[in-house]
Amino acid sequence: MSEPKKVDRRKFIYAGLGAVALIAIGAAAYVAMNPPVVTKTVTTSTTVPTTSVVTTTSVATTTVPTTSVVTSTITTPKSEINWKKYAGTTIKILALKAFLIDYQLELLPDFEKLTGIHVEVEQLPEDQVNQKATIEMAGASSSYDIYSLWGHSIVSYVSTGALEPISSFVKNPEIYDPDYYRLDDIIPAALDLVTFKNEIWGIPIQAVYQQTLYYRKDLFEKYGIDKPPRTFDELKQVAEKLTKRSEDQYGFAGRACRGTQSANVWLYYLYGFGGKIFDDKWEPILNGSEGVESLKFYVELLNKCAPPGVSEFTWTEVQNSFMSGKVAMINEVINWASIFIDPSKSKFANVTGIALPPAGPAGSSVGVYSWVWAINKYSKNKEAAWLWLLWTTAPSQALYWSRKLGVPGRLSILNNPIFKEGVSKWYDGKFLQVLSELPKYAYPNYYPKVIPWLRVMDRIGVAVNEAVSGVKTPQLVLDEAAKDVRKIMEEAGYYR
Amino acid sequence: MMRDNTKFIFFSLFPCLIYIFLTQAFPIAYGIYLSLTSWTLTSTGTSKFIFLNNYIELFYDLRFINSLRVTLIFFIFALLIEIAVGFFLAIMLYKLKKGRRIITALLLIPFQMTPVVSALGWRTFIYNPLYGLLNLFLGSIGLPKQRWLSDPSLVLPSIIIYDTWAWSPFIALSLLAGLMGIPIELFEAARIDGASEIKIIKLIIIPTLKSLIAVVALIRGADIIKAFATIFTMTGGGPGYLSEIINLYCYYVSFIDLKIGYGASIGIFSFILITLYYICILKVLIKGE
Repeated sequence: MSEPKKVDRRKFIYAGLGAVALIAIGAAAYVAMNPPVVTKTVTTSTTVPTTSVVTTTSVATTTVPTTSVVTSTITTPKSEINWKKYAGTTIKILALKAFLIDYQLELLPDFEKLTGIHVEVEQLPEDQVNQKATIEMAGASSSYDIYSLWGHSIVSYVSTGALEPISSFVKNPEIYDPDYYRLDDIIPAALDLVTFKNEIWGIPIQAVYQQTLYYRKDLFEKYGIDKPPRTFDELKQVAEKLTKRSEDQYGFAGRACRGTQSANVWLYYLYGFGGKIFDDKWEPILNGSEGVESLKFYVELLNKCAPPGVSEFTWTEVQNSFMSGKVAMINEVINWASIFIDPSKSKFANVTGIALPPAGPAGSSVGVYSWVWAINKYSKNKEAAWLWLLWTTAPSQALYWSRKLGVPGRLSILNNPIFKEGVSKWYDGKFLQVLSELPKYAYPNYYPKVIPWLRVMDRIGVAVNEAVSGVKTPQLVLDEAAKDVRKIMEEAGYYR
Repeated sequence: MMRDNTKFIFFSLFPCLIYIFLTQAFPIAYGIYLSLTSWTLTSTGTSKFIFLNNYIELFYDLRFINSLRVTLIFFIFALLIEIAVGFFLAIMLYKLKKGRRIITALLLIPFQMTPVVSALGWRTFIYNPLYGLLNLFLGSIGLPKQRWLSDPSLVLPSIIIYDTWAWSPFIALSLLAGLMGIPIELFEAARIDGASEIKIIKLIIIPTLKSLIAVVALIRGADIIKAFATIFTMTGGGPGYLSEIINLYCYYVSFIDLKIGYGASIGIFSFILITLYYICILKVLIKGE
């Protein structure tokens, strides 16, 4: 009895293993092939993947949308600008891989037709695009004619001497028409971001307000809260009321990871309490009483009302925790508004509310940020590059892509009926209301204009992370941060 | 005759020498040169030769000293625990009569995975404070949830546990190969003489495997000092600087702060540390022969 059974079992195991192997091979082949034809033999399937790999990589690296169908009805208004001046030139753009750039690049074929300038685009994710631009600038390279850069650190790019100020172009009537372009129409806080030493160093794409209160209307109703919080104190009270740890429900979430982004968030509370990073002589004073008070407030708010592990939260986790319904309120960037009301992305699209961010004891302190187009000083086609900048960020074109983004960079677009029509229904009209009121709450010089600002911000981010994760007290982390910030500033040549 | 021979040897080695020069000697020499300059990418790109100033600054740099301390703690505990667990696993496997093959095959998985992938997996599926398996388990038996990777006192142990999971199988398999090489008669004779299992391990297994353990410790030790991908993926050095090992600090200085010269001096320092460790282990090995 035992003999045949043994053989059976072995056979069974072999058969099982064989079946598993077959399924695995089949699955692998299916995954690799992608196209619906799967009923071929294994040998053909091995040849198919190589071609599919090639096509995907080529799509990933060269992102010039040659085949994209542009259905824009926007025509370039009449102007004195000589669009054909640089026909036949090729310009190269180093750009961020994100919607705000993609929407503009959709217009490329129109631009090429108008000017005869050929445009090559290389797009990279945020960190890489920044790193690459920094290295290109340090090497005084002329590989790219246009960079897309972080607005808050434009000063550090300027200090490398690799950027061309806008003033070199606007004086030439052949390539600039003030009535056509209207530089003064760009939202002042955004333009201020790129203004340094009385020069404008780039064109801000949007005016992204860093703080907007998103909240869950259904939860507010459930716990009897009739209106969104207007002050820091109210924010804390409401957040505490909405936190029910046993039900895995939390009142608030914010960024606190190591790095620049949590510093960016804490600045709002620092300014809200009346604190500052630097005094008039660029001495760090972030560890003053307002600074400590504001960090204490942020740490308490997060530790009492945010999900566990909040000290690891980057913007991704903040966004996900809100969209998954675990968190009732977040005070985050305005350009997430379009995501939260999209039913295909958020389960709570119908019950998400938007409001002006709560203000601190020292008043409102909303940061304004933008990605910026800037022209390489070492470029050989500066004026051709300028034409692209001029064309894509001019009111007529900006209207096209601002409508898709929901957050414009120009005042005229805020009041444009076509733009208004697109976003008027968002959040029952509340979005447009918040968007048009936010400029009043903008904090001037939210990002101090110092050369090593990125390093300073990174160091402050570590302090916020240390305080929130409980490594040290707010006073101690800020004292240490102030000391390091002073050293960073000294290395960059301040205090001499 | 003799001269012709050297010529031939030289010509045969020539391609290899060029290869070594281009890929090893030149980068190291260039790295040493960089570490003696003040090259910073954020300033206008000027670079001055400043002799050993970068190295002197290292000893006043609290963040560097902290990274050295973290590296040392991580190195000692991770290495000892991995070797202990690996050794224990190897003996278990050796005693296992049935299914050894399948288990050995399964043990290959942790260290065959790309470190970034497995570290990310641990971070999101096991250590995640909200959805992680570990906290779900703790919650189900009524214990408080932990912040594995952001609690100051838990972050290094958590990373060490991951590293042990990933690498002790490698040690176990290496030692198992050594164990299989020991003649069975030795064990049988010891048992007949009435030696206990502990005595067998102490008097037969450890002495025979000594040089193998040293080799494994050599490979793993250097890897731990060089560890970058796993910690970068799991914590990025946080919370604060509590898990920032020396190579991570080197990365931040070189590629975030863009202080290439100073970053190079940290890199060279880490290189010296590893070399010293190699020399120590090689001495042990030679003594053992």
